[in-house]
Amino acid sequence: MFDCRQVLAELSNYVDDEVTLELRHAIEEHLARCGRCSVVYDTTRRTLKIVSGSLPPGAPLAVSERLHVRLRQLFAGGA
Amino acid sequence: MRQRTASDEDLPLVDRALAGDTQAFEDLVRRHECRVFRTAVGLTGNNEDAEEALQDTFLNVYQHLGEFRRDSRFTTWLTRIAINAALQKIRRRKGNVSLDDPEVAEAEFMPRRVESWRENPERLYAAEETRRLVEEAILSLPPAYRVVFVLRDVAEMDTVEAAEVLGLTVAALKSRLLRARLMVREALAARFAERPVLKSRLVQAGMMVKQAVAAGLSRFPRQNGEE
Repeated sequence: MFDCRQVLAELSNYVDDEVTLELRHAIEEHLARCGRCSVVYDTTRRTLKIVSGSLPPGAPLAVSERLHVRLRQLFAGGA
Repeated sequence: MRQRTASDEDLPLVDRALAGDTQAFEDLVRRHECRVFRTAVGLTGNNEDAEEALQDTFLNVYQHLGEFRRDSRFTTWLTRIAINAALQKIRRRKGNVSLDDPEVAEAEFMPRRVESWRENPERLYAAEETRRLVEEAILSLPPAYRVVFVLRDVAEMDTVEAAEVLGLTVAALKSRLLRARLMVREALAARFAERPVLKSRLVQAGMMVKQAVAAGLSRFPRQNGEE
Protein backbone atom coordinates (compact mmCIF):
# COMPACT_ATOMS: atom_id res chain seq x y z
CA MET A 1 0.00 0.00 0.00
CA PHE A 2 1.24 3.50 -0.91
CA ASP A 3 1.93 6.02 1.81
CA CYS A 4 1.59 9.82 1.52
CA ARG A 5 5.23 10.33 0.60
CA GLN A 6 5.09 7.86 -2.28
CA VAL A 7 1.91 9.45 -3.58
CA LEU A 8 3.41 12.94 -3.39
CA ALA A 9 6.47 11.75 -5.33
CA GLU A 10 4.22 10.55 -8.16
CA LEU A 11 1.69 13.39 -7.97
CA SER A 12 3.03 15.29 -10.97
CA ASN A 13 3.17 12.18 -13.15
CA TYR A 14 -0.33 11.25 -12.04
CA VAL A 15 -1.68 14.72 -12.93
CA ASP A 16 -0.01 14.37 -16.36
CA ASP A 17 -1.43 10.87 -16.78
CA GLU A 18 2.09 9.52 -17.13
CA VAL A 19 1.83 6.56 -14.75
CA THR A 20 1.37 2.87 -15.36
CA LEU A 21 -2.04 1.34 -14.72
CA GLU A 22 -0.67 -0.42 -11.64
CA LEU A 23 0.70 2.83 -10.21
CA ARG A 24 -2.57 4.59 -10.99
CA HIS A 25 -4.51 2.01 -8.97
CA ALA A 26 -2.12 2.30 -6.02
CA ILE A 27 -2.39 6.10 -6.06
CA GLU A 28 -6.18 6.09 -6.38
CA GLU A 29 -6.51 3.58 -3.60
CA HIS A 30 -4.50 5.92 -1.35
CA LEU A 31 -6.39 9.06 -2.42
CA ALA A 32 -9.71 7.39 -1.62
CA ARG A 33 -8.73 6.95 2.02
CA CYS A 34 -6.43 9.97 2.61
CA GLY A 35 -8.21 13.33 2.81
CA ARG A 36 -4.97 15.26 2.96
CA CYS A 37 -3.45 13.79 -0.20
CA SER A 38 -6.77 13.99 -1.96
CA VAL A 39 -6.93 17.76 -1.28
CA VAL A 40 -3.33 18.22 -2.43
CA TYR A 41 -4.07 16.32 -5.63
CA ASP A 42 -7.32 18.17 -6.32
CA THR A 43 -5.82 21.62 -5.67
CA THR A 44 -2.69 20.87 -7.73
CA ARG A 45 -4.84 19.84 -10.68
CA ARG A 46 -6.91 23.00 -10.28
CA THR A 47 -3.77 25.14 -9.92
CA LEU A 48 -2.62 24.07 -13.38
CA LYS A 49 -6.05 24.76 -14.85
CA ILE A 50 -6.19 28.23 -13.32
CA VAL A 51 -2.63 29.04 -14.45
CA SER A 52 -3.33 27.93 -17.99
CA GLY A 53 -6.63 29.81 -18.17
CA SER A 54 -5.55 33.11 -16.66
CA LEU A 55 -2.44 33.91 -18.70
CA PRO A 56 -2.83 35.39 -22.18
CA PRO A 57 -3.18 32.60 -24.76
CA GLY A 58 -0.62 34.31 -26.96
CA ALA A 59 0.76 37.61 -28.09
CA PRO A 60 -1.95 40.31 -28.21
CA LEU A 61 -2.65 41.56 -31.74
CA ALA A 62 -0.89 44.91 -31.20
CA VAL A 63 2.20 43.14 -29.83
CA SER A 64 2.30 40.84 -32.84
CA GLU A 65 1.88 43.77 -35.24
CA ARG A 66 4.75 45.70 -33.65
CA LEU A 67 6.93 42.59 -33.89
CA HIS A 68 6.26 42.20 -37.60
CA VAL A 69 6.83 45.92 -38.28
CA ARG A 70 10.20 45.54 -36.55
CA LEU A 71 11.04 42.46 -38.62
CA ARG A 72 10.21 44.21 -41.89
CA GLN A 73 12.52 47.07 -40.89
CA LEU A 74 15.20 44.46 -40.33
CA PHE A 75 14.55 42.83 -43.72
CA ALA A 76 14.81 46.28 -45.34
CA GLY A 77 18.26 46.63 -43.81
CA GLY A 78 17.26 48.93 -40.92
CA ALA A 79 17.77 48.36 -37.21
CA MET B 1 17.06 12.63 -31.53
CA ARG B 2 17.84 12.08 -35.20
CA GLN B 3 14.38 10.72 -35.87
CA ARG B 4 12.60 13.71 -34.35
CA THR B 5 14.82 16.08 -36.28
CA ALA B 6 13.88 14.30 -39.47
CA SER B 7 10.21 15.00 -38.78
CA ASP B 8 10.76 18.65 -37.81
CA GLU B 9 7.95 20.40 -39.66
CA ASP B 10 9.73 23.77 -39.35
CA LEU B 11 12.71 22.80 -41.48
CA PRO B 12 11.18 23.64 -44.89
CA LEU B 13 10.45 27.19 -43.69
CA VAL B 14 13.91 27.45 -42.12
CA ASP B 15 15.48 26.43 -45.44
CA ARG B 16 13.46 28.99 -47.40
CA ALA B 17 14.24 31.71 -44.85
CA LEU B 18 17.95 30.90 -45.11
CA ALA B 19 17.65 31.22 -48.88
CA GLY B 20 16.43 34.80 -48.37
CA ASP B 21 12.66 34.28 -48.40
CA THR B 22 11.50 36.82 -45.78
CA GLN B 23 7.87 35.72 -46.11
CA ALA B 24 8.93 32.23 -45.03
CA PHE B 25 10.66 33.76 -42.01
CA GLU B 26 7.50 35.67 -41.10
CA ASP B 27 5.48 32.47 -41.42
CA LEU B 28 7.93 30.81 -39.05
CA VAL B 29 7.49 33.69 -36.60
CA ARG B 30 3.70 33.55 -36.81
CA ARG B 31 3.79 29.85 -36.14
CA HIS B 32 5.71 30.30 -32.89
CA GLU B 33 5.15 33.83 -31.60
CA CYS B 34 2.27 32.91 -29.28
CA ARG B 35 4.24 30.25 -27.48
CA VAL B 36 7.31 32.47 -27.23
CA PHE B 37 5.19 35.30 -25.82
CA ARG B 38 3.55 33.04 -23.26
CA THR B 39 6.94 31.72 -22.21
CA ALA B 40 8.23 35.26 -21.82
CA VAL B 41 5.16 36.38 -19.84
CA GLY B 42 5.57 33.41 -17.52
CA LEU B 43 9.24 34.11 -16.94
CA THR B 44 9.13 37.91 -16.61
CA GLY B 45 5.64 38.31 -15.14
CA ASN B 46 4.60 41.28 -17.27
CA ASN B 47 3.57 42.15 -20.82
CA GLU B 48 6.13 44.91 -21.38
CA ASP B 49 9.20 42.77 -20.67
CA ALA B 50 7.59 39.88 -22.51
CA GLU B 51 7.10 42.02 -25.63
CA GLU B 52 10.73 43.14 -25.58
CA ALA B 53 11.87 39.55 -25.07
CA LEU B 54 9.64 38.45 -27.96
CA GLN B 55 11.20 41.01 -30.31
CA ASP B 56 14.75 40.26 -29.13
CA THR B 57 14.10 36.55 -29.64
CA PHE B 58 13.04 36.77 -33.26
CA LEU B 59 15.60 39.44 -34.19
CA ASN B 60 18.22 37.09 -32.76
CA VAL B 61 16.78 34.10 -34.57
CA TYR B 62 16.84 36.03 -37.85
CA GLN B 63 20.44 37.11 -37.40
CA HIS B 64 21.68 33.70 -36.26
CA LEU B 65 19.50 31.32 -38.25
CA GLY B 66 22.58 30.09 -40.09
CA GLU B 67 23.97 28.86 -36.77
CA PHE B 68 20.99 26.58 -36.12
CA ARG B 69 22.51 23.12 -36.21
CA ARG B 70 19.91 20.53 -37.05
CA ASP B 71 20.85 18.20 -34.21
CA SER B 72 17.79 19.43 -32.31
CA ARG B 73 14.31 20.55 -33.27
CA PHE B 74 13.95 24.16 -34.40
CA THR B 75 11.59 24.82 -31.46
CA THR B 76 14.21 23.54 -29.00
CA TRP B 77 16.75 26.01 -30.35
CA LEU B 78 14.16 28.81 -30.52
CA THR B 79 13.03 28.23 -26.93
CA ARG B 80 16.60 28.45 -25.64
CA ILE B 81 16.95 31.85 -27.31
CA ALA B 82 13.58 32.96 -25.89
CA ILE B 83 14.56 31.92 -22.36
CA ASN B 84 17.83 33.87 -22.62
CA ALA B 85 16.00 36.93 -23.92
CA ALA B 86 13.53 36.77 -21.01
CA LEU B 87 16.32 36.22 -18.47
CA GLN B 88 18.05 39.35 -19.76
CA LYS B 89 14.91 41.36 -18.99
CA ILE B 90 14.74 39.89 -15.49
CA ARG B 91 18.45 40.58 -14.90
CA ARG B 92 17.95 44.20 -15.87
CA ARG B 93 15.55 44.51 -12.94
CA LYS B 94 16.88 42.03 -10.44
CA GLY B 95 20.56 41.54 -11.15
CA ASN B 96 22.09 38.15 -11.79
CA VAL B 97 19.68 35.26 -12.26
CA SER B 98 20.92 31.69 -12.39
CA LEU B 99 19.16 28.60 -13.72
CA ASP B 100 21.34 26.33 -11.59
CA ASP B 101 19.38 24.24 -9.14
CA PRO B 102 19.33 26.21 -5.88
CA GLU B 103 18.76 22.95 -3.96
CA VAL B 104 15.42 23.93 -2.51
CA ALA B 105 14.96 22.42 0.94
CA GLU B 106 12.15 19.90 1.24
CA ALA B 107 10.31 22.19 3.66
CA GLU B 108 10.03 24.72 0.83
CA PHE B 109 7.76 22.55 -1.27
CA MET B 110 6.07 20.11 1.11
CA PRO B 111 2.33 20.93 1.16
CA ARG B 112 1.38 23.00 4.18
CA ARG B 113 -2.04 24.30 3.27
CA VAL B 114 -4.27 21.28 2.93
CA GLU B 115 -7.69 22.87 3.26
CA SER B 116 -9.92 22.33 0.25
CA TRP B 117 -10.60 25.15 -2.22
CA ARG B 118 -13.91 26.72 -3.01
CA GLU B 119 -15.73 25.91 -6.20
CA ASN B 120 -14.19 27.95 -9.07
CA PRO B 121 -12.14 30.17 -6.74
CA GLU B 122 -10.76 32.17 -9.67
CA ARG B 123 -14.24 33.61 -10.22
CA LEU B 124 -13.97 35.47 -6.92
CA TYR B 125 -11.49 37.79 -8.55
CA ALA B 126 -11.58 39.90 -11.69
CA ALA B 127 -9.66 38.26 -14.56
CA GLU B 128 -6.77 40.75 -14.23
CA GLU B 129 -6.57 40.08 -10.51
CA THR B 130 -6.42 36.30 -11.05
CA ARG B 131 -3.75 36.83 -13.67
CA ARG B 132 -1.74 38.97 -11.24
CA LEU B 133 -2.05 36.31 -8.51
CA VAL B 134 -0.90 33.63 -10.93
CA GLU B 135 2.03 35.72 -12.19
CA GLU B 136 3.11 36.50 -8.64
CA ALA B 137 2.92 32.82 -7.70
CA ILE B 138 5.12 31.89 -10.68
CA LEU B 139 7.54 34.75 -10.00
CA SER B 140 7.95 33.56 -6.42
CA LEU B 141 9.64 30.38 -7.69
CA PRO B 142 13.45 30.22 -7.86
CA PRO B 143 14.37 30.74 -11.58
CA ALA B 144 15.54 27.12 -12.02
CA TYR B 145 12.05 25.96 -11.04
CA ARG B 146 10.18 28.81 -12.70
CA VAL B 147 11.63 27.98 -16.10
CA VAL B 148 10.60 24.33 -15.80
CA PHE B 149 7.08 25.27 -14.72
CA VAL B 150 6.74 27.83 -17.53
CA LEU B 151 7.91 25.46 -20.27
CA ARG B 152 5.65 22.62 -19.15
CA ASP B 153 2.57 24.29 -17.70
CA VAL B 154 2.47 27.68 -19.41
CA ALA B 155 4.00 27.01 -22.84
CA GLU B 156 2.74 23.41 -22.75
CA MET B 157 5.93 21.92 -24.12
CA ASP B 158 6.33 18.15 -23.71
CA THR B 159 8.59 16.73 -21.02
CA VAL B 160 11.27 15.35 -23.34
CA GLU B 161 11.71 18.56 -25.30
CA ALA B 162 11.61 20.74 -22.16
CA ALA B 163 14.39 18.58 -20.68
CA GLU B 164 16.39 18.96 -23.89
CA VAL B 165 15.93 22.74 -23.94
CA LEU B 166 17.31 23.00 -20.41
CA GLY B 167 19.99 20.32 -20.76
CA LEU B 168 18.42 18.27 -17.95
CA THR B 169 17.62 14.59 -17.75
CA VAL B 170 13.90 13.78 -17.93
CA ALA B 171 14.08 12.59 -14.30
CA ALA B 172 15.64 15.88 -13.13
CA LEU B 173 13.07 17.88 -15.08
CA LYS B 174 10.20 15.91 -13.57
CA SER B 175 11.57 16.31 -10.07
CA ARG B 176 11.81 20.10 -10.49
CA LEU B 177 8.37 20.22 -12.09
CA LEU B 178 6.76 18.46 -9.12
CA ARG B 179 8.37 20.88 -6.68
CA ALA B 180 7.50 23.89 -8.82
CA ARG B 181 3.86 22.82 -9.08
CA LEU B 182 3.61 22.28 -5.34
CA MET B 183 5.10 25.70 -4.66
CA VAL B 184 2.70 27.43 -7.07
CA ARG B 185 -0.19 25.51 -5.51
CA GLU B 186 0.91 26.65 -2.07
CA ALA B 187 1.13 30.28 -3.16
CA LEU B 188 -2.36 30.21 -4.70
CA ALA B 189 -3.85 28.27 -1.79
CA ALA B 190 -3.48 31.36 0.39
CA ARG B 191 -6.02 33.10 -1.86
CA PHE B 192 -8.20 30.27 -3.10
CA ALA B 193 -8.74 28.16 0.01
CA GLU B 194 -11.98 28.33 1.99
CA ARG B 195 -11.82 31.56 3.94
CA PRO B 196 -10.27 30.92 7.36
CA VAL B 197 -12.42 33.78 8.75
CA LEU B 198 -15.57 32.14 7.51
CA LYS B 199 -14.38 28.79 8.80
CA SER B 200 -13.72 30.10 12.31
CA ARG B 201 -17.14 31.77 12.29
CA LEU B 202 -18.72 28.46 11.38
CA VAL B 203 -16.84 26.76 14.21
CA GLN B 204 -18.00 29.54 16.53
CA ALA B 205 -21.59 29.16 15.40
CA GLY B 206 -21.30 25.39 15.86
CA MET B 207 -20.08 25.87 19.43
CA MET B 208 -22.99 28.18 20.20
CA VAL B 209 -25.46 25.63 18.88
CA LYS B 210 -23.77 22.93 20.93
CA GLN B 211 -23.93 25.08 24.07
CA ALA B 212 -27.57 25.95 23.42
CA VAL B 213 -28.44 22.31 22.88
CA ALA B 214 -26.49 21.30 26.00
CA ALA B 215 -28.29 23.99 27.99
CA GLY B 216 -31.63 22.86 26.58
CA LEU B 217 -30.92 19.23 27.29
CA SER B 218 -29.80 19.96 30.84
CA ARG B 219 -33.27 21.33 31.52
CA PHE B 220 -34.92 18.08 30.54
CA PRO B 221 -33.70 15.86 33.34
CA ARG B 222 -34.71 18.53 35.82
CA GLN B 223 -38.18 18.72 34.28
CA ASN B 224 -38.37 14.96 34.29
CA GLY B 225 -37.26 14.93 37.90
CA GLU B 226 -39.94 17.43 38.84
CA GLU B 227 -42.65 15.23 37.52
